[in-house]
Amino acid sequence: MSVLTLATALVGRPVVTLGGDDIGQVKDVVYAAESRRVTGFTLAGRGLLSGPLRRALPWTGVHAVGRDAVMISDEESLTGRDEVAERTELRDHNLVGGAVLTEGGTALGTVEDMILEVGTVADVVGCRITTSEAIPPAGRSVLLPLPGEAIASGEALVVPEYVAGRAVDDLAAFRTATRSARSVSEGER
Amino acid sequence: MTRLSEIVGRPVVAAGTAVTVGSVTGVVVDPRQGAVVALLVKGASNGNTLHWPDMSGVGPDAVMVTSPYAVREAAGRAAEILGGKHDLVGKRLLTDTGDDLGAVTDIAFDEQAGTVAAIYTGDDSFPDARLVGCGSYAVVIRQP
Repeated sequence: MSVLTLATALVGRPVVTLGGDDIGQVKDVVYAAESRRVTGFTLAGRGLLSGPLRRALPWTGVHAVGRDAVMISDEESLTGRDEVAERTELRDHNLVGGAVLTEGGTALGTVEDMILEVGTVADVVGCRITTSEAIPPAGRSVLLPLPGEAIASGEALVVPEYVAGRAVDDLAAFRTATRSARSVSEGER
Repeated sequence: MTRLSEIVGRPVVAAGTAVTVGSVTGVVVDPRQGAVVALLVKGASNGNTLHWPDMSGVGPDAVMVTSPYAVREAAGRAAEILGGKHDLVGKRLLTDTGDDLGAVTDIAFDEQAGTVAAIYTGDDSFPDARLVGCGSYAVVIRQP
C-alpha cells in the first residue's frame, strides 16, 4: 500500500525510534536526481533553536513513514549527513522555486512542493506549482504529474507537453488521474 | 485484569504479620516483555520497589507480600527501566507505523502474569496491544 503526500508535509515530522525516543525531525527530503526516488532525509533537532543535525536518515533506515512520525529501529539507522547528501544531488528546497518547462520551452509555472508516493519505497510522482499564463487562470495552485520522462535539475523541471493538460486541484484528483493514466498505458501493451 | 488507575493507593500488606507495609503509587512496565515487572510502593522502610516475583498476590483490596522486606530498592531490569523515561501514562501512543493514537491515560494488566493486557487513551482502548517501546517521546505499539 502506498500513500500520496506533499514533501513539505513530511518536513518537521518527528523521527522516533521503536523504543519511543525522538531523535530529531525531518528537515529536507533528499532525492536521487535520475530515478527521482527518495534516498533519505536530512534532520534537524527537535527544539525551537536547534539547528541541523550532523546525522541523516537514509531511506534504508526507515521503518515506516506514518501520519504523525517517521519510525526508525534505533539510532543505528542514522548515518553521517554527507553520506546521504553525497549519493544524491537534489533536495526538496533545491526544486522548490524552480520553473517547470515543457520540452517545447513553455513555462508552466513555479514549483511549490513535490508530491511523493510513499510505500516500501518513496518516489516523486508530481509537483505542486503556481501556474503561469500557460495554465489559465495564472497564479493558481495546481498539481502536475511528473511522468518517467520528466527531467529534474537543481534549476528546473522539464516535462512533456501533455503534462500541461493533466493539472488537477488536489491529491484525491491526482490519485484518480494517476490511476487512470496507468490503466491506459497498461491497456496499450 | 487490573487497571493501573485502580491499583494506585491500594495497601501492600505482609501476610505473615498482617501489617500494612505501604501503598502502591505506580507500576514499572518492561516494554520488551510487555509486562509489569514491579510495583512502586510508598511508606516502606527498605525501599520503594516491589518486584513481581516478590509478590504473593494482587487482590481487589490489597497487594499481598510474604514479608515486609519484599519492598526494597529496585534491582536488575526494574532499576534499569526506572533509570529511563518509564512512565506510560501521559505519553503519546504511537503505532510502529508512525500513527498517533492519542495520549495514554491508563493500562490494564493480568494480575497473575503481569502481562500488559490493554492500553487506554482518552477515547479508545487497545486490547492485546503489543508494546514495542517506551521512550522520552512516545509509547510504541505494533499496528493493531
